[in-house]
Amino acid sequence: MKAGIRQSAAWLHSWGGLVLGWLCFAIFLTGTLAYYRQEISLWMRPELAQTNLFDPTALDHIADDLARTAPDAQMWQFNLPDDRHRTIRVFYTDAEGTYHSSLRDPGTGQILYPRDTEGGDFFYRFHFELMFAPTPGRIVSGICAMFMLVAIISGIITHRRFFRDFFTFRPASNPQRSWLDGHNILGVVGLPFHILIIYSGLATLMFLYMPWGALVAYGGDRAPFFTEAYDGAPPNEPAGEQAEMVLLSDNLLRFQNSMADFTPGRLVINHPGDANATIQVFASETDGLSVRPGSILIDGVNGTELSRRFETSTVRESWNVIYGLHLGRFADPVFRFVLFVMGLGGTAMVGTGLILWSVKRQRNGAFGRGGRIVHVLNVATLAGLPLAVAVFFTANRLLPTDIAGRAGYEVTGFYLAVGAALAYAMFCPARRIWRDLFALIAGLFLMLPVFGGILGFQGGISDLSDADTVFLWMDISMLIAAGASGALAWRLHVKGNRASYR
Amino acid sequence: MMFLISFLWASAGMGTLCLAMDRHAKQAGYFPAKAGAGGMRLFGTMCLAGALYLTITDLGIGMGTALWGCQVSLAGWLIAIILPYRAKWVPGIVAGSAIVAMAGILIYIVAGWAPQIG
Repeated sequence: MKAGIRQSAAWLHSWGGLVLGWLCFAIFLTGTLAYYRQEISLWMRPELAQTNLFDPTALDHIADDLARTAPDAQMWQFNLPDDRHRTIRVFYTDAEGTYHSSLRDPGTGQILYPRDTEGGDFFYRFHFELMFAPTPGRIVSGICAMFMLVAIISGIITHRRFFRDFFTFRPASNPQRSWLDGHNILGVVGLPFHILIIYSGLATLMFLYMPWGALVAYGGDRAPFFTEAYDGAPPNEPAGEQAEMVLLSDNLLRFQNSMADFTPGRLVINHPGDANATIQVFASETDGLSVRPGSILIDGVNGTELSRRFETSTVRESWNVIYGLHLGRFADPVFRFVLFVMGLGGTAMVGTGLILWSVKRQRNGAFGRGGRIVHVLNVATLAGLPLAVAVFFTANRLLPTDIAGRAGYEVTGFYLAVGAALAYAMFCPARRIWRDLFALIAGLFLMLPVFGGILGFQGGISDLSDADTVFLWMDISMLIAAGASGALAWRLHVKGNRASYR
Repeated sequence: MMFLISFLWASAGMGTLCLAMDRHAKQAGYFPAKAGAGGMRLFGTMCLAGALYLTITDLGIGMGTALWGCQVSLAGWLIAIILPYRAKWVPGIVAGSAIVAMAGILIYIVAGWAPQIG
C-alpha cells in the first residue's frame, strides 16, 4: 500500500535527521558559542585585557610600521576596536598575495603578543567548516543545513497536533513520550528562529553552493562580482610611483566629526604608498541589521572623497540583512544573550531528536547493532562535544603560554575529548556512560574559574573585584555550565538512568 | 527596560494562549467557558501584538521583529517548562506579567514625557 504524505515525511524526518544529526548538533552548538566569539577570544587571551583606549593616531603608527616592514603589501586592512574588540586587528597581503595578520594596541599601535590560541574563532570556523579544509567543510555544512531545513519541514508535516500540543510537555510520562514532547516543544516553539538561522546560514555561503549565476553574468570571472557584491572599491591599478599618504587618523576624525550617524568600523587601504592609493572607510556592522552598511572611498594621497556607497539595490541589501541576521553582530548584550539561549534551544532540539530515535527503537525492541552504533555516536556527540569544549578551555588555561604550536594543542585536545567520549561509550557499561561524562564536564567547568584564580590569570575568583565584566560573565557562565552538567549527572545517578535510555 | 517590558507582554500573551486551551486550563485548575476561551485568545494575541509594537518602537522594524520572535519563543518555552511542574502558577504568572508590564509602560510613558513637560 502506498504510504501517505505524513508517513513519508515521518520517514524522511527520522532518517534524514539521524544521518546528519550529529554534525547538525556540532554546527548548532559551536555556532551558538560563536555568538560570544569575541568574549571567548578575550577570555582565552587574558593578556589583551590591559590594552589602552583607542587613539586614532595609533593608525598612523601602524601605517608607518607596515610601510617599513611590508613595503610591497598590496592591501592593508585595519579593523577598529569597538565595545567587543579591544585591539586593532591588522591584515595585509604581501606581493605574493600571502595573507598576514596581527593584533595591535589601540592606543599605541604596537604589536601585541598574546598567547597562541584560536580563541572563539575556533568555534566560529568550526560551525561552518567542521574539521575539514575550508571549501569541503563549507560544502558539508551546507548539506547539513539543507538537511536541517528538510527535517524541519518534514517535522512540521509529521506533527499531527501542531497547535494542540504546542505547550505540551510530560516529563513524568514514559521516556519516549517525554523525549518526543521535549523535541516538539523545542522545535515548534522555536520554529521561527530555527528556520531563520538555518536559511540565513545557507544564504551566507550561497555563492559557494550556487556559483553559476555569477559565473554566467560576469563572463566566468567572479572577482568583479564579489567587488560589487561586497561593496569593494572599484579595481584600480597601482601607478608605480611612490607617494606620501594622508594621515589615516585625520580622515577618520573628519568623517566621525562631520557625519553623526556614521561609525567607522574598518579601513581598507589599496596600494598603500602608491600614487594611486585609495582608502575605503567602512561603516561599523554593529549599528544595524545589514552586514555591509556602506562605505566612503577617498584618495589615499590627497584625501579627496571619491565616492560614497550607502545606497544599494534591494536584492543586495536583502542579502546583507539576511547575512547580518545570521551573524547577530547588531545585537546588544541582552539581545545577544537571547540569541544564545535560542541557539541552545536549537542545539537541544537536535539532541533530543537524536535521543528520541534511540529511545523509540529501544522501546520497540529494535535496537540491534545499528542502534548500538547510534547510541555510541550519540554519546560522542551529545556528551563528547560539551566535554570537548570544556577540554578546549581547560587546555587554554593549563598549557604553558610559550610552547610552539600552542593553538594546535588546544584544538587537538578538543578532538581527543570527542574521541575519548566515543571510546568510553564503546567500552564502558552503558548505564554509567552519560552520568560519568556529565560529571566530568561539570568538574572541568567548575575548575576553570578556579584555574583562573590560582594561576593568576584575569578572571577567576581573585579578580571579581576588577569588575571586568567579560571575565566575570565568562566565569559565571562556566559555573552555570558546571551546575547544569552536575545536576544532570546527579539526576542520572539518583534515578539510575531509569528516566533516560541506556 | 523596554526589553523586559516587551518580554513580560510576550509571557502574558503566551501564557494566556496556553490557558485558553482546555487541557492546560484543567492542568492549572481553571475551566474557561467557550466564550471565555475566545476572549483569552484575543487578549493573548493583543499582548503579543503589544510586545511586537514595543520591540519595533525600540529597535526598528528589522531588529524589533527579530527580537520579538525570540521573545515569544522564550516565553513559550518558559510556560511549557513551568506547566508540568507548577501548573497552578501559570495564571498568576500571566496576571503578574500583564500587571508589571502595564506598570512598566506607564513608568516608561511618564519618564518619556517628563523631559518634554519640564
